[in-house]
Amino acid sequence: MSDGSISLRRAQGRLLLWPSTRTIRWVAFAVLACVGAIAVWTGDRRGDPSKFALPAATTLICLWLCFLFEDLAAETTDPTATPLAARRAVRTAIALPAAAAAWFALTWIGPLHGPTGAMAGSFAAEALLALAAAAVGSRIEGPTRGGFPAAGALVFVAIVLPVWLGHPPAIEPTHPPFGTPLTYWSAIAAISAITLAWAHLTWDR
Amino acid sequence: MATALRSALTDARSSAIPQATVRPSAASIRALGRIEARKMLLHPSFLVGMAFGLFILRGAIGSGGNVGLIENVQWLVLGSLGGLVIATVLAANVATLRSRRSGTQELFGSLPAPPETVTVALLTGVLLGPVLIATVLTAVGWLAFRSDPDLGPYLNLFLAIQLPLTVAVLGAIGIGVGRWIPSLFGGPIVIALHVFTGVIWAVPWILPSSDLGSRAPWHLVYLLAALTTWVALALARDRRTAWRFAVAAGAFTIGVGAALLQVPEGGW
Repeated sequence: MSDGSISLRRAQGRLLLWPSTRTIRWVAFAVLACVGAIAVWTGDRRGDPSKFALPAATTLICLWLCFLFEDLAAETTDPTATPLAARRAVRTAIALPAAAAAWFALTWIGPLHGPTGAMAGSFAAEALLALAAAAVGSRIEGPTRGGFPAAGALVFVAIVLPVWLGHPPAIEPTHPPFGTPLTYWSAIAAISAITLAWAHLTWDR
Repeated sequence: MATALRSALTDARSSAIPQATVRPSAASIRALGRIEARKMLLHPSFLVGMAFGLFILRGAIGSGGNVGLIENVQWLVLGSLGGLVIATVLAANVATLRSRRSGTQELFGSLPAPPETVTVALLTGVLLGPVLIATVLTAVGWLAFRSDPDLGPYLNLFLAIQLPLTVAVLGAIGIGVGRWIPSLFGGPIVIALHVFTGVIWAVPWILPSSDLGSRAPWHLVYLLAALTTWVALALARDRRTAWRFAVAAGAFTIGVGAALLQVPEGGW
């Protein structure tokens, strides 16, 4: 990639920053983060929140990322010079730090003392999974309808699969249904990253 | 300034589309209700919600080794009921948002039918779809569990009524939330609030009469009040009349009263 292309992408990124920030669903994010905080806080009163409440709150925050690539103005923005991957990269660069900050704050509620390796791994893997599922969902269902199937995929992998196949059934990041926490979350993250890249590389332009 | 304000109000009133004064017709509600029921039951969120309920219950109970037909039917009914509760909220919420997501919500104002028709049809769809399935599952569950030594003694008409009534209430919540909060996050947030925050244990939707004793009728009052509250709120979104809000507020007050009267000392 030439210097000219890099400076062009930077300029496009700068111009997209504010419109992308404005069109992200921040109210939904705030509500989901609050529900997650309530879940962890009440989970503290019922036992160790890192076993059920925090993984559930992690999935809730990542649920918001599933709807990140839904674009009501897709028909207008598709013919523009900025590639889809670049537009989505700007949205991800804005939303992902916000989601990570909210999740990090959740890991300090009640008896929790910050994120452990397994917790951080599960969040990273679920966030990547949410983005990959959102990209694939918008390819299958269209650019305005990709969020719901993506949310289904995330809930299946993060909650249904561990309860269905886990021994014992648990959604705790340290007790994945297969392998060790490191191999399980790494595998999910790797598969999600490849899928996310594929969903953008195979577009027509 | 007062003159300008008065003339602006007069202009707004004269150019406003007059509100329909007729009530929704039974024929149109029946026809639309059938369509909504079919759309809800065939929507991926409903089917996937039901499947997730079965998967989670399968994981919770384990494979169970060599179990008989009756045991399999029992767990299938329980899993289906659990999934039905989640699926009803999601499907009703998505069905309510369908017109908005398709960009046709505003066009309903130009139809001769009153604006409540769609909301009432959605509520009818919940009755003809998920509630009917809940009734059938309740009947099958009754037959499957009546000989069970652990659960058989708890089966009675009080428990049987609660299952379809709970599905109806959750469907009404899905519709009410969808009418007031035009976001796909509404349904998942309702489920998350229920499951993850412990709200569900404040007053559980389904309780055996043995846990309530003489307070059992208050639980049914609570369920009916919750249903009325959400139906009135959903209809109030179509036309914000004082009596609809009054009905919602009255039903909510009765529901809170019934909840307080049934909770034992120290909570559930």
